[in-house]
Amino acid sequence: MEVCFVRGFRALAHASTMEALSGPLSSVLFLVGVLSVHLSSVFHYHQFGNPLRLPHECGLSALFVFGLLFATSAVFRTVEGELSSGTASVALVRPLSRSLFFCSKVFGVFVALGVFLVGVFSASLLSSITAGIGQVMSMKDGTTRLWPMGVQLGVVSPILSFFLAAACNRFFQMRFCFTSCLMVALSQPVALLIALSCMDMPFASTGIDLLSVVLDFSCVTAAGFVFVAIAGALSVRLKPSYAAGLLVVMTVFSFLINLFETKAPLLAHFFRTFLPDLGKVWMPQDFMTAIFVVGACFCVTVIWLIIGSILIRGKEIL
Amino acid sequence: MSEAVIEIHNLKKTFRDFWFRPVANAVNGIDLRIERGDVFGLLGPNGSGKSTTIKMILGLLKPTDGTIRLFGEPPQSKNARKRIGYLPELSYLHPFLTAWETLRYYADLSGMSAKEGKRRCDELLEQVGLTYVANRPVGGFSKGMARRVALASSLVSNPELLILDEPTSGLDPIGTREVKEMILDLAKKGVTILMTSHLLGDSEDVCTKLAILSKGKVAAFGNTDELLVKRDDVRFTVPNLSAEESEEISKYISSKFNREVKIDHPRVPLEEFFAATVNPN
Repeated sequence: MEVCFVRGFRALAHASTMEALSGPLSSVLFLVGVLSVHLSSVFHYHQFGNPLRLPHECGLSALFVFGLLFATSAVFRTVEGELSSGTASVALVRPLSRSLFFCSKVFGVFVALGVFLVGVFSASLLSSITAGIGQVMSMKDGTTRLWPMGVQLGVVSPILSFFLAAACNRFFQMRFCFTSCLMVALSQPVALLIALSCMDMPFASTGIDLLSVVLDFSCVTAAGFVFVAIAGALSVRLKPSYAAGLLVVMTVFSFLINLFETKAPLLAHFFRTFLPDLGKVWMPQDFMTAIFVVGACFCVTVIWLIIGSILIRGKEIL
Repeated sequence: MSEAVIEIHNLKKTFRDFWFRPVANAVNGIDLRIERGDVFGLLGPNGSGKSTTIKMILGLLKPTDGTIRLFGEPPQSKNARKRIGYLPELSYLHPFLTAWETLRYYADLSGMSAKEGKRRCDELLEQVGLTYVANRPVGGFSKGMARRVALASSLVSNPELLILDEPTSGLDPIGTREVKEMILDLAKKGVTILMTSHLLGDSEDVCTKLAILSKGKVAAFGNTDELLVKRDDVRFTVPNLSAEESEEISKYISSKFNREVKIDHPRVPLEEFFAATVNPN
């Protein structure tokens, strides 16, 4: 029985991940998300007073904005799309529970969001290294702002991956959208490793606080999981347009609460830059706070998964 | 009496709106009993309650009243659902999965082991004639090819009860014929089949029992032969009779029994003629 459960869960989650990564919107969001992190440093969208802050903030913002857009659209496709198109009815006549169906579908989107996280996190680190080395070099020669090799690796690798995916589709009949998402995301850790191996100075001298980067990304990813779980639960009963509208209202409402509570200059920054300054709004400053945020997000995610499971149990599938 | 695979008693379904006001009475007290080995046709015009009945049997909709038993258990029972295969009216497939991955997906959902699932997927693709496109995403398939994949996926778990909603929808006459042969072949192996079809000829060809639904009620129910036989007429089929011989027999029957005789040549069913024309071998 446990084997059946695991096999069913794996099959559903795998199909859900494939579906999430298979749309053209996913390919575009992956490419734009990763490129935005690198290009923000190149075009210097924002002056935080610290050159390392920009790639860090842009990485978080890309994860928050593009990642959430990708993940919520994917969860609507995999849950509501399946329920309305009829593929769910074919799956649900098999010997598996509806709760398992819902949870594994959402888990599949979590995995897809994890792939996006790998790409954006690596891009953010690479961009930070580029800015960090550039800062050290500028102290020496006074002109260099960014490490040229880091910029080249960061900008060229996702574009090259996109074209490589197109070539794989042309010559080996591989799925373009799925391959491009994977290649763009995985190109970033590869580019990061190449950059690390080519650095002629120790990592510590770049001034990057790795723990802080990891904590911030963990919190934003956990928040993303909450959004995916809420979107999944809502899409069981609501049409995507209503569920998306409700999510937008919830997001704006939570931002407004943050704005009033922290007095953060969110709106000013939003208009001055193309991405909001998340760090000033609600990012944790220490390890324990981060653990608390991630833990709270985990609990809320589980609650919404339970709500979704209850909603799908009572749903009549026409 | 054979073992009942599906037993339905006084089944009713009323669809309600957001305020729980009744909107439509789709099913109004259906009683059915489908036995092991039956090829059962559920027929009726649009809106007669066929699909609603099937979805209640599959546990996708909850009955307003009445009971359903599959292999003696309620439709939500996992043991009962392990023994069912379902082909919906439209071939609901994930367009991004290949034909082989689609079958593998349903094999996994049915709880089959990896080795058994792989063997069964290969076997079924061979059976529906799609081995040559096994690694192509089904999103690019024609309607007929998608129908074959859907049919194969309904058979992946070796079901004892196969529920087919418009099984020949979207298939050309050759494909229709193959599906009907497959249905008869499965019935010979002891698989119980419940099918709906708008093509009455298809149901007539394969179904051993029929129920005709009208306005959510069973209007007619019984063995196909018993329901369709015209007991007021008698037909003799004799090979190679000349015109004179026919005339003589006609005159004899008219004079001896005082009956009007109609003589004609039997017609080949169009499906058979089409198949013989397109594929003479």
